[in-house]
Amino acid sequence: MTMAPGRKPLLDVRGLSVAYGGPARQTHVVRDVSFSLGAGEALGVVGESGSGKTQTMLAVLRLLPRGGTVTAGSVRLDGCELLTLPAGEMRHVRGRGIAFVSQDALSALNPAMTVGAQIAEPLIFNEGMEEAAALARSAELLDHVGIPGAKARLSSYPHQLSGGMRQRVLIAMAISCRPKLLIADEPTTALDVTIQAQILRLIDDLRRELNMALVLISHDLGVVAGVADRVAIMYAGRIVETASAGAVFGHPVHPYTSALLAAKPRLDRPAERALRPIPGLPPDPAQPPPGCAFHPRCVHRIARCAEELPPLSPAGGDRLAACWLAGEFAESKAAAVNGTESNTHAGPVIAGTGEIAVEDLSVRFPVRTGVLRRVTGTVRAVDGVSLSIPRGETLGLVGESGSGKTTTGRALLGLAPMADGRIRYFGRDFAEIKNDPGVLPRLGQMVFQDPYGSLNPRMTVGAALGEVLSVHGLARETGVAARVNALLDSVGLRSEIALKHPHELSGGQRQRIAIARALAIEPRFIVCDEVVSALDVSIQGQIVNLLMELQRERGLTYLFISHDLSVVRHISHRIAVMYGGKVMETAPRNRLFTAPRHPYTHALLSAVPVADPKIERGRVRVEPRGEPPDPADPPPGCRFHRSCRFAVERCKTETPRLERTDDDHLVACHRWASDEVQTALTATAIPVGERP
Amino acid sequence: MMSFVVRRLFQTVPVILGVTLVTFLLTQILPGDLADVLLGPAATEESRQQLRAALGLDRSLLVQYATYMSHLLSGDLGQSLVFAQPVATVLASRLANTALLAVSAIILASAVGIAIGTFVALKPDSFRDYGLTTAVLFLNSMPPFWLGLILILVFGLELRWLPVSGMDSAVGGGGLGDLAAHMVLPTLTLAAWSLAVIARMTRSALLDVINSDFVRTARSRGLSEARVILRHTLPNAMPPVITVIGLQAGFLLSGAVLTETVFSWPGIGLAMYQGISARDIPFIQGGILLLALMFVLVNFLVDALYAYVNPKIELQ
Ligand code: SF4
Ligand code: SF4
Repeated sequence: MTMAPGRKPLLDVRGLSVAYGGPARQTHVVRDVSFSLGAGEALGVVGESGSGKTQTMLAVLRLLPRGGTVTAGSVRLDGCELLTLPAGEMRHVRGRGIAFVSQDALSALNPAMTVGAQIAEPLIFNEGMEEAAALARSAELLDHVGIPGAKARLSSYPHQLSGGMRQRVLIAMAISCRPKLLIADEPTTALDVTIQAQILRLIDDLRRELNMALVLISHDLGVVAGVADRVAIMYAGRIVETASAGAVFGHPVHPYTSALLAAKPRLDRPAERALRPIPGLPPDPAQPPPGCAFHPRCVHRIARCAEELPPLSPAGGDRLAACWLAGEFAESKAAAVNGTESNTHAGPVIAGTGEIAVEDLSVRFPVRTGVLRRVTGTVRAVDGVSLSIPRGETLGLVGESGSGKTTTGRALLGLAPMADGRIRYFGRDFAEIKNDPGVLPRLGQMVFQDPYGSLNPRMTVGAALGEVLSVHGLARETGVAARVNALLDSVGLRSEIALKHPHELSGGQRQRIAIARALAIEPRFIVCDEVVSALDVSIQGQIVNLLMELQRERGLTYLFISHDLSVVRHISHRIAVMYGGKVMETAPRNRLFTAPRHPYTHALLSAVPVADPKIERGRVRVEPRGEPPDPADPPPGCRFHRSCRFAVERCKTETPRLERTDDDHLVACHRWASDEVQTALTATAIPVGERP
Repeated sequence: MMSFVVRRLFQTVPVILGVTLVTFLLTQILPGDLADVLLGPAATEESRQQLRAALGLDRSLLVQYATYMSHLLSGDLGQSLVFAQPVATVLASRLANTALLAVSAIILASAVGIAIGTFVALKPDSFRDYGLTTAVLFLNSMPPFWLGLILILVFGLELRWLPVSGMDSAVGGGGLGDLAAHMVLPTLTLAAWSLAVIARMTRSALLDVINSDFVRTARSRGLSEARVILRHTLPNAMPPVITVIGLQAGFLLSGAVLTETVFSWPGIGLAMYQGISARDIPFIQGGILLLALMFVLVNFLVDALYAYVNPKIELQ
């Protein structure tokens, strides 16, 4: 990437390659990566798992895990070569020159040290501060990153803090020695969307204030759009496209970039827009395809693509792209698109008599504390939830962690203790079905986020599916193989897969197997719990499309639980928003997104990042104050009142009931009809983009 | 953490009760009873019955257990036949010697084991790793009494550097220097096996932790390698090592019986050996009870230590 002439780059990486394994069996994970970054500039690095984005940055810090080596290239910080620096001087660079924030702050913080001791450590041992002064400075830093009661927090251990707090602590640690460059590796990936918005804004504010350069690594284009000045897209260890954020998002030139943008449902586009999942799988880093690594998945490929590697070369303006056809795509008005358009939303609902209906469902778990492990309280995981799902429809259930959405899903299948309430399944009472052995599994099944944990590692896929079939008496000895093949076919897998073990499959394939297993019993209702959350963006679309296709073919009813609002909007007919164990709002999906009536829904929507820098920068976020309530000690009245900007006295004492506002829109808020709330909420949370 | 420790302390109560029950039942399982042992094979059936009645052995098991427990609670473990003294007195006089041996062995094994384990983990798959790991495996596969005999042969009889026995009382006669000289070989013998196990556990625990994110965080902040290892890696690698040390402390107690016999070390182990040879039932009973209680105590201490190094434990 070329810098503005005359300015010396802060960080200059040239031809960097990283490999694992000995010389005999080397696997390159980063190949010939070059980029540079000016002081105070923000670069977003986007790629799927295995694209080499994290490895590149760890190589810059010389913190590659054991077995990883830099095989070629140079890394200069302020003109000083880092790769050959003696270890002692490199230590001097870390923390002061370049600081690092990793994802999952829980594992990135030392569990056995207090927060204060960890922040103060380099101040004492590297900067030579007195301990008292270092602790005072640590408290300032905590305050700076927005942790209330900073002084008192110094003596907390990481596990005593919430996820958002931990990430703030990690950021405080990173800026403690005033680095010139901050590398943030997926800093918000494990966080809820409202917390994610807070953390991203914090990082952006800090970088301006401290004039730090920033490298923001993410798999999510939306996260990068709001912060980065420039963006680099990585695929199979190489940068395939890099340009200013506006250029990359506005007019992607590389087919992979545009495919990535088209693969993910977006809140700023009509829900009916088709998803174009990228066909195939990301390449195995050990054996990348020859030529352009993307060619097996690229619809534009020409003969040359499979033979010759396209170099990263100028493609108009400040853009570099590695594609033989970059020139054409750069000139043509439309961005390169990839993938076949998939069918959009589920067709007309098969009118059915039965449905899933939940009334006043409550699930409570005991809390045990003290010497005798006495029950000292209850967690009201789900507190008086009512829902209904017409047959053949999808109800999307969204909410942040601790909102009770997963527990609700589990209770619907009898997997969580129901303390109160009534569930009706296609006209039959749940209690009655539950006592009838073997009936419940045939009506309802669940698919989990982590199919690896729910598949037996010792069984082949075929054996696992066959077992389900024979346990439920659905196939006789002779028919099992044929049924297994039919099942695999229905989830888009070839029959050879039956002979494999779960660890031999990719994440997307495992998720397909998990779906096949749920389908084996031919249930009518499936609870999908975060089924695409662990998958790469290019694979997510494939699974979402598969679920929608199966629904159309078989008239399945889904409860689709997810924290990802854009995916939920794409797949659902209706959406329910949960907060603190209660349903706050339910509405048909378009209504919910265009005209939310609950203050929480509005705040939630406004926090979802959109992959368009123009929108992101102009957006006004209504961040809810503070963090979601503790389900063991829920606030009285409206669960949201501590964070709600419209709260009045009544909200603190009286719990609002879910009431019908018009035929299909239910809201639990005392003030939804007030002018103040109505006007504030008409300012749409999600601006709609200019392009179709 | 405190509440965890207190809870853990409460949990030892049923364990201790169970231990007393087992040691009591031991007399029922062993062939012959106290009357047989006291009177010898030549005694008449009639005199046996008389003695049984006098000792209360003809009462129901429950009554016998109650009597046993009430004696226990008043510190009365019965009269040893071999030593012609109350069992409690004999055990008390020997406890210090055994504890001295066991404690120094476990300290030696832990210190050297952790040091070796750390040293090799810093450079895995290197020459030092292979060399030391092989040496440790060798130690690990050696039976303690055999090692004891080898040590006696080499250092005691060939080189004559160290005394091999004659240690009548830990504090008797020769003063501290003499005590130390007498302790070297038995401590080494007793510590060898545990040392090997602790070293191996430290190596693998450290290799696990050294790849964790928080170690990378510490490095990314420019901390020195010594701090990264000593402050961030080692403490977090300790929980499994502490568990192993606890288990080893238990094994040391049984290892002490063999080692004390080989070196004629006047501890509980040697006394137990003598007691068992003479079928001294009250003494065996008392000895086993003491060893079991020490085992429980060690386990409790390990758990308390565990809670100390792992602040998260209070949540469980
Ligand atoms: S080089 Fe060929 S295969 Fe690669 S992205 Fe461009 S058109 Fe597609
Ligand atoms: S009930 Fe009150 S606190 Fe709750 S969302 Fe409505 S206005 Fe806010």
